[in-house]
Amino acid sequence: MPALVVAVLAKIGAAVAMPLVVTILVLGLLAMTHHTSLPRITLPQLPTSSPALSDHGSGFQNPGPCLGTHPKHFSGIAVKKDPRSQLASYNTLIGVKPQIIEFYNKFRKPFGSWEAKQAVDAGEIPLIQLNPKDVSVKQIADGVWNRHLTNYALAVRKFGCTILLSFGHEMNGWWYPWGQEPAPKPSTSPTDFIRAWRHIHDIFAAQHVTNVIWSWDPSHQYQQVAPGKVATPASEWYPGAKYVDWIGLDGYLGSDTSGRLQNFNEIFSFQLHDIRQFAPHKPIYLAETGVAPGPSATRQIAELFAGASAYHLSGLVWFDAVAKHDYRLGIHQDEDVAYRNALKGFVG
Amino acid sequence: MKERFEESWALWSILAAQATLTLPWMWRTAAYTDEALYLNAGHMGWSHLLSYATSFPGCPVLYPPIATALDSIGGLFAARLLSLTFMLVSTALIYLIGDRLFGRIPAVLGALLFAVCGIAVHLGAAATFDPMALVLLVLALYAAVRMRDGGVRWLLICPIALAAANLTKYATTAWDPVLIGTIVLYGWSKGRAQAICLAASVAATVTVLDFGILLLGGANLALGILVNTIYPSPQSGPPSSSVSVLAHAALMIGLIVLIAIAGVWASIVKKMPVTATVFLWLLVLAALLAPIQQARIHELTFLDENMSFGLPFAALGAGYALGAWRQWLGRQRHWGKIVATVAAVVTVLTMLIVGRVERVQFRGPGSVAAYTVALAIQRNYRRGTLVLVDGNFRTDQYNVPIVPKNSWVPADGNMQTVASICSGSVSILVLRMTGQNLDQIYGTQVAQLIHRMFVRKAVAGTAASSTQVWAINAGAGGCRAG
Repeated sequence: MPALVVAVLAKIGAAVAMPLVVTILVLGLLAMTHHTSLPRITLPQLPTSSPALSDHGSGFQNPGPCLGTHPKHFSGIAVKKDPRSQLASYNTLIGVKPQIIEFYNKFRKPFGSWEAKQAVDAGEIPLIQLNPKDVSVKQIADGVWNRHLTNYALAVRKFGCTILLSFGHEMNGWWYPWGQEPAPKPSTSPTDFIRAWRHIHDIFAAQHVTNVIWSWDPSHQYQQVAPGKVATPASEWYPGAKYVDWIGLDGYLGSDTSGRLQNFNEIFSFQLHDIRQFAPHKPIYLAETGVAPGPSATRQIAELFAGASAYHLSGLVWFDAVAKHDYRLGIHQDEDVAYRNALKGFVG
Repeated sequence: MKERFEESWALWSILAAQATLTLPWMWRTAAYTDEALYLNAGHMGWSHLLSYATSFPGCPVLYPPIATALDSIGGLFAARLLSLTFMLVSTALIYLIGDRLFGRIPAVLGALLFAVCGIAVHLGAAATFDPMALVLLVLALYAAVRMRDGGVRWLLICPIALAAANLTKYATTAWDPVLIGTIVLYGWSKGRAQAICLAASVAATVTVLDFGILLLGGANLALGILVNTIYPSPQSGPPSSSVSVLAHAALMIGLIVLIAIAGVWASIVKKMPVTATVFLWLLVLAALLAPIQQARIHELTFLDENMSFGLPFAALGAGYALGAWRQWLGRQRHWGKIVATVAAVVTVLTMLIVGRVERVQFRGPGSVAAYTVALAIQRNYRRGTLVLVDGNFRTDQYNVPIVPKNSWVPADGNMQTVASICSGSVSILVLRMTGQNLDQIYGTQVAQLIHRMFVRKAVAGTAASSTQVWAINAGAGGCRAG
């Protein structure tokens, strides 16, 4: 009898001790690996009438301080010069206020708070494209630029308002030094890019910067189009759900080399399918898009917005500047009308 | 344990029957979309796997690397053989649990009902997360039962196996309370304090382990757990009505659940202790967890996989019911045991037939059709070109690894099909036909273009649902020709 009592007591003792020992071991492991805070997650919404819409088109975080809520579908413009004057002319021309204003900063520059402030003063969310044009992505990943990044993060935190921050956009293409440029130019590997992205993200986290929405913006290109012109699927460059809040895809409609008009599906469908495989719950939008001027531009503008709706994209940022083509609005009246009508239908 | 196995010829017979039922499906079906997804992802490497945290139903770095390693060695057959092993071990554990809870005859009947159920048969031939998660869950249940009379080691095995099951497939977390309830209810007669203490210990340890894993995995894993448990699956189609979800569940496991409910009634009639009756109710509830949850969220997708986790509980309850009925009838009439045995055989045969007739959701396409398509793609594919596929191409991608993963392109609408074909970059078209001709499905313009520029190389499937492989005709010229 005493032996039985001892056995029962031993079992009860073990039962009490086990969770305590396991808790100590788990806490030790978490402390050693610096996993001591609760993960911040954005909950997806339950589907209503259309599961596809809810799966992919919802889940947007509220833009946060300094800004109100955004509509179901948003629009924006990408600019290369003074945001305020361009925004004013856009508002006059189109009559629909955009929610995002995108501009491009070199990596080595300090945080462009004056540009961001202009955007916020106008009621926009600034989307900053941080381009590592004259620095090595590997060096960023290796910590060479830590001091600069820490200062940048502190400046963003001081700024206070929510910003969208993207690093090394269109990294999966061959045309930027932070992408996979053909030899003999320096090329960035996906591994280094992902390391760099995570490193930047971690520095911001270490400085307790909470007003950044991380926008990861690959290009629509995903394959070799000619010798030396190699792009890869976006999945190879994805830093991981923990490090990315929104996904912005870049791509334009125009004509191919034989003069044939391009449509939305052939430009965007591969990457959209790919992205939704590995990031099914991230909000996706077009972070830089436009239509090349030409006799069919009005039709392609309608096609662009129709495609964005059909694929349940959350928004679209028009490249209101000159690059390979002159994508600016306000040049051709018929294109402005087409844009205005399509935009009104898109944002609802 | 070894002696118990040697004594139990019935168990060995059940395992042999289960293997015999499952083995033909290993080569009768090709990889289905989820198998192809997991194995393809595994082959792409560790860093790629991590990006699937929210789209896989379990932790992407547990099962997929094991399955992929086996796939590299022995192909799909080897990966599926692992699943069969897990299912056979599950059956053996169900037998051992039943033997401890209700005695040998209910244990044999329970294990037999589990082994012949269509879901278990097909799960043994599916390289997915489910068999591994299931065996860990059943191992945890076995440890929960052994804990009452066994040594302290079962107290350690139970939460570790349960946490491993939870991590392997997040959905198994729903059955954690059932195991905790089992510890309390089964241990109650031996001493309430001990039972409650053991249950609380296991609950606390599993919570700590699960929570620790959640913190280690970060936001990605947390979101993965949420979207794979309480939210509808990202792969699910349009919402299904609750009635259709429950009707499908009834077809697949209705009989076994009904018999388990009869077991509750039998325990009341036999005036068994309240804890025993509540425990039998718990077994029924465990079997109904998946159908109730999926009816609640109006999702039919993955119902069969998720029901598999409730199946061992239903089998144990049903085994008890049949055993109790056999015992009662044997006492009433001298031929009672024979009638009861015949009834049990009829029940098992009914389960077997339903399992063979009813198509489980995770059954792959016929291997002959799949390999006809794969062979045609492989023979006619030209390096550096694209394969344009109408619909999902995961299975084709898995079956034809020589085509680079960047070269598979979905055909989304006729305009894109025309554009891709005209660009000259497509060497293979894979078309899904549903009993109509090309004109009806793709329109006259696309159909003419396909006929002019491509040659049909293979047709696989039935007249109502087939897959066609078309290869580029070298002498056809461009889009403007003809």
